[in-house]
Amino acid sequence: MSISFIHTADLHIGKKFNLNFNVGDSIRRRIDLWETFDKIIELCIRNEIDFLFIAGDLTDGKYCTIEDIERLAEKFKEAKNTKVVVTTGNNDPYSVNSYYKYVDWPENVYIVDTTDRVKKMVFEEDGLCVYSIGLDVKGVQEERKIVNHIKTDDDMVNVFLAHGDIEGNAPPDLGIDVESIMDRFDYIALGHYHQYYEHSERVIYPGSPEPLDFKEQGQHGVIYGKIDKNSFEKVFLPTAKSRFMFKELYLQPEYEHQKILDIIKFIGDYISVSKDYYKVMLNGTVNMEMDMDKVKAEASTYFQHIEFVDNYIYDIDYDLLIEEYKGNLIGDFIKLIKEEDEHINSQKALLLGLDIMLKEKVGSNDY
Amino acid sequence: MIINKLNLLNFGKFKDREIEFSNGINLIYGHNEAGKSTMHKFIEGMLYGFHTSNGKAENNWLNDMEKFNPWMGESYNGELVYSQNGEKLKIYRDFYSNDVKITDDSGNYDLGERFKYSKKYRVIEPGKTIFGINRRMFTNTFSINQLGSRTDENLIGEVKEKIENLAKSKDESIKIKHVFEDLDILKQKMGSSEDLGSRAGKIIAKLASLQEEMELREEADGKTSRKLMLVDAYKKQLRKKQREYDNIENIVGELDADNIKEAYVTAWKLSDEIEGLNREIGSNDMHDLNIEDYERLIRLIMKSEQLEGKEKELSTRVKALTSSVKTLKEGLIIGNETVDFEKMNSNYEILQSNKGIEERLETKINGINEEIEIFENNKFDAIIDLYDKYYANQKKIKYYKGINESDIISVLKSKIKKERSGIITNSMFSLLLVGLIGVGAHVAASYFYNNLIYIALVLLVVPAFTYKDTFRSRRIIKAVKSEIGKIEKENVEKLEEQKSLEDENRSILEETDCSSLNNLKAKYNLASSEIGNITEKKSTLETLEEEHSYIKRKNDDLENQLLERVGVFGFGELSTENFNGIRRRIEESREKSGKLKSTNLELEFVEEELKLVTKEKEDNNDVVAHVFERNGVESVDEFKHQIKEQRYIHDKILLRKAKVESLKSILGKYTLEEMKTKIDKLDALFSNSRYSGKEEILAAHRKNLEEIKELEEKVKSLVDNISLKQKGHRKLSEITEEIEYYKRQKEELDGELEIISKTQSVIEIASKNIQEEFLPKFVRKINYYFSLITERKYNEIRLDENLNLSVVDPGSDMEVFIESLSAGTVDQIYLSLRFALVDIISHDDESPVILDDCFTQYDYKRLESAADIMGNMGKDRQILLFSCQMREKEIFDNKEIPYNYIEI
Repeated sequence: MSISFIHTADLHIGKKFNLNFNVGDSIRRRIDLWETFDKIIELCIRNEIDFLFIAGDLTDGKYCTIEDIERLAEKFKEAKNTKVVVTTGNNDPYSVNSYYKYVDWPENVYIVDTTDRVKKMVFEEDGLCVYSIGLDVKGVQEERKIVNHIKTDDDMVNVFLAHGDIEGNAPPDLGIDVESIMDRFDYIALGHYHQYYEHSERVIYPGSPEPLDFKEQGQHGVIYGKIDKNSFEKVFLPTAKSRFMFKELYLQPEYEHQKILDIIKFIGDYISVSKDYYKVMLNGTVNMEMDMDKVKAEASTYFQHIEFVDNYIYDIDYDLLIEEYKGNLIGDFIKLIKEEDEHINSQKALLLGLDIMLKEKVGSNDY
Repeated sequence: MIINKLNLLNFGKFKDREIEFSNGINLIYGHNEAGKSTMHKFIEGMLYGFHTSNGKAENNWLNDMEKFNPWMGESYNGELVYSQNGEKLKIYRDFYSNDVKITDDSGNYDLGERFKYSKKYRVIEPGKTIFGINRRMFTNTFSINQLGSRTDENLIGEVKEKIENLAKSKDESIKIKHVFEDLDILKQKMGSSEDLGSRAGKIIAKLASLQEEMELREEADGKTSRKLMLVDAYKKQLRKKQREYDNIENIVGELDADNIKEAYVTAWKLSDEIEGLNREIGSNDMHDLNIEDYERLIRLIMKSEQLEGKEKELSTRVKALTSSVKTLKEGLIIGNETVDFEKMNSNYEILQSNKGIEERLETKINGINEEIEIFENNKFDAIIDLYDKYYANQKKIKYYKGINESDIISVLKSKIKKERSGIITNSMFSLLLVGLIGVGAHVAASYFYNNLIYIALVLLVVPAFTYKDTFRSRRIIKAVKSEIGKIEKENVEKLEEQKSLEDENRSILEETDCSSLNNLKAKYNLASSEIGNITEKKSTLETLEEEHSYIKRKNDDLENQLLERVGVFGFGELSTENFNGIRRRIEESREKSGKLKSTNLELEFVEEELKLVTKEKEDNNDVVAHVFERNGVESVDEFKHQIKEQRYIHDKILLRKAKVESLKSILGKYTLEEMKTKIDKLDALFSNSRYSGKEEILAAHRKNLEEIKELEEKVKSLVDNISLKQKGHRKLSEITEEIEYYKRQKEELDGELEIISKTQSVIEIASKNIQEEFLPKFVRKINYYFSLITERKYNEIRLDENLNLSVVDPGSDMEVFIESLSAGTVDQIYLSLRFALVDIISHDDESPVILDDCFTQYDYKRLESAADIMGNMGKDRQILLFSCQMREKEIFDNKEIPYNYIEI
């Protein structure tokens, strides 16, 4: 009989977001993370999953409270028929301060509490063996190299569970020499990369089940697999509540207020804008009279979340302006600004200067 | 440049209004709403056009366009004639289409290509070419508005401001002070940490409070961390205690080892003894001799010996018996065994009696044969035959006699007679009938018809019938006659036959010597009985003969058989003597045979017994061999020796067994080694531990358990405490995020501030440049005009770096600050300033200055002084003075200042 499992990683429960979120956004997003976690547990219960492999960064280290960990433990308890194997990652290292140490985990939870040697967990009745080594805060963990010496039992289904980098990009303590151990294992459940990535059919990063920032675009979910000594099947189950979308827009000086607003409004469909996170880069050139702050404020009302990257410039005809204001301070001011780079800040300074000087220019029209 | 003529073709309220201007002062008088402003605006519109501007806050240009849209008529246009460098030019502008035509005064030559064309607004802006300045500069420079303030104090302020504006921005209308103030206000709004009401202040305050919260949180976290370390330490301690406890538990578990110490000593002793015994028993132990086997072996060997004796005896007997059998066999008659003398003898007796029967049967047969011979001679058969013949003849004779006596011929003759009479009767009757019919017919015919044919027919039928009957009777008669003849012939023949038969019968009587038939009949009866008698005798004879031949055959067989039998005994014939001889011999042989039989039987039995004995012996030997083998000995003696030895070892083994048993019971569930290990362990545990006694260790056990419980509680309460403490604070993530959020806000604000600062600094630079480049020139020009106006009363106006204006009093060479100057002087300064500006901005010194209701607020005195200035100025420069008062005219007239008066 084959063994069913769900493989996830990088949940980052309790995460502190490095986004342009206001406090409310972050709190809501953290709730989303919990809901996605609950969804995964629900998946385990409903589908009578034998194993839940969590390949590190289940929580976001110091931002996670004991209460959070207790809540995790409670939730794991609900999936009492699923064996939950949790290894630790760089964000939730198994250190002195790790709350993992201080919580009474339910019987079905197996925390990988070794960081200096490979922990072998034998599930005799399932015919499955999990090997894992956790991460601590030591920095360089030379011990991780000992994975090369793991001896596996050919009669068992062997699973390697780890948080780290297999491409050699990350710091060495996160490195895993996957090539040297690949043929020994029936499945290698990895964590650390937040995007779904198959190194090979049986060496997989499931990515974060709920995306955490704008770098994590596309589908996010977990791996649902069935494995025995002879066969292996897997499917990617999307679990993400929201997506992070990054869009670029190119503006033209002739675009009117409404047109720019429409362009922004229609970058996502009606459902997407109500639940996803949008980041929009505004490129191109806009009319110097365009009140972009107003446009953005209006556009924001259509989105659950939208933030802008201003990469546009104003369409300013310096020569015309200079000619217009030649001979006085305004003209000189424009000349000086023109000598600087055509940068948005210079433009903003110009517009502000013009604004103020013209406002304070009295009597020119009071006939 | 001088404006010569305005032609308002269709502009605002004006239609086809032509106004000519002269050099010098042009006083354009009109009451309010007469259209002075319209005219002013017309000049501006002609020179620069009306258009929407890109500049912010200048949207009312579009309004100008609408404001002066003519009240009637479809066109919206005008003309302006001006002269410059001795040349007269005409500008025509259609305000609707923004078409501008520039020609010479006559309107014949298009000079438009000389003029600047605004690509953006697609209009020709002649003003730009004429003055080299844009519309804004034109209006700012050439239009001089009134000084609004009526009070001296305010006037000074106003002038000071205008000076400042001009000095810093080349534009009196740009309130440079306010610009900087505005920027400052903006900055202030963005704010600083000091200003808690400002955005930055709010952010900074928020950040500070967050930082405080963070510190609290971090402190809590630090405490948590320390607590966790404590927990970790406790846990380590707990583990240690646990280990210690386990250790003690171990010792406690091993405490019963104390009790087995004594047992161990005994056990050890026993074990030692067993060891000694083992040595003694040694490898013998391996060869376990069986005493029972030995005993059995002895028995077996005895049996073997017995069996051997028996075997010998039996084989002797077999030999003896075999020889006696041989002897007996030689004395026997061959086939003796099969002879049954008694039967043979009885057969012989049967044969004797059967021979008697045979003889008797022969006698009988002969007697009957004689009787039959006698009978055959009596010829009884012939009498019978003759009788039968006689009797048959007699019968035939009687028949013939009957026939002859019967009268058949007369019967036949009567018949013929009868037939002949029948023929006659018939013929008579027919004739009668014919007659009757003929008569009847004739009567009928003659009565009815006269047809005789029918009568003839009837007459013919009757004879036909009659003839038929007659013919039959004649044929019968003929047959009967032939019959009679035949019968008569036969009768003769029969009579002859009868006679021969009668002759024969007579001869028969003779032949039999019988006189009569009765006599013959008697003889016939006798013969019949005799024949029956003899037939009976013949059948008896047959039976007898059969019997006889059977007996004879049987006898012959028996005889032959017997002969053969006796032949065996050497006799050729059957006789009682011979049989007696045979009997004797048979009896003799039978006696021997019986003896042989019994001997043979005995032999067989003995041989069988021998066989059994031999087998038993062999088996016995096998067993013996097996026993030997089993016990690893080759002889009984050896066995015996070894048994002796074994018995000794056996005793030892028994002893050992007993000892082992008792050792076992002493050891119980342990082995000796285990016991030893246990004891050693306990000793070691004790020696390694600081406990010396059982009681002490039990106490330690209890204490440890308590300590563990205490530690566990400590850990639990700490963890609970951490959890509680954490709950008391906001989440670190929230605080951090909020800090980051406000930091971002701050950054954004800083960005904005940067922009403001930048704007500020650029404006400052531009302003400074103006002050540096423009101001000295400007001050020079002011001085020029000022001295001109004041007719050298003051020779110098000074502006210090702070733009404080002062006038140098030529008499005392003292600086007099503007605040101390009279209003008139201030006006003079202001006008000087304005003209100086026009000079600097325009390329020539004749271009018009437009004074639009400039002096409305002036009192008469001030106006007089202003008129003086204008009078001076008007010498070189065209002045367009719009006014709604007549005061200017009066003053010009009084002062005889030349002017061109225009009233609208």
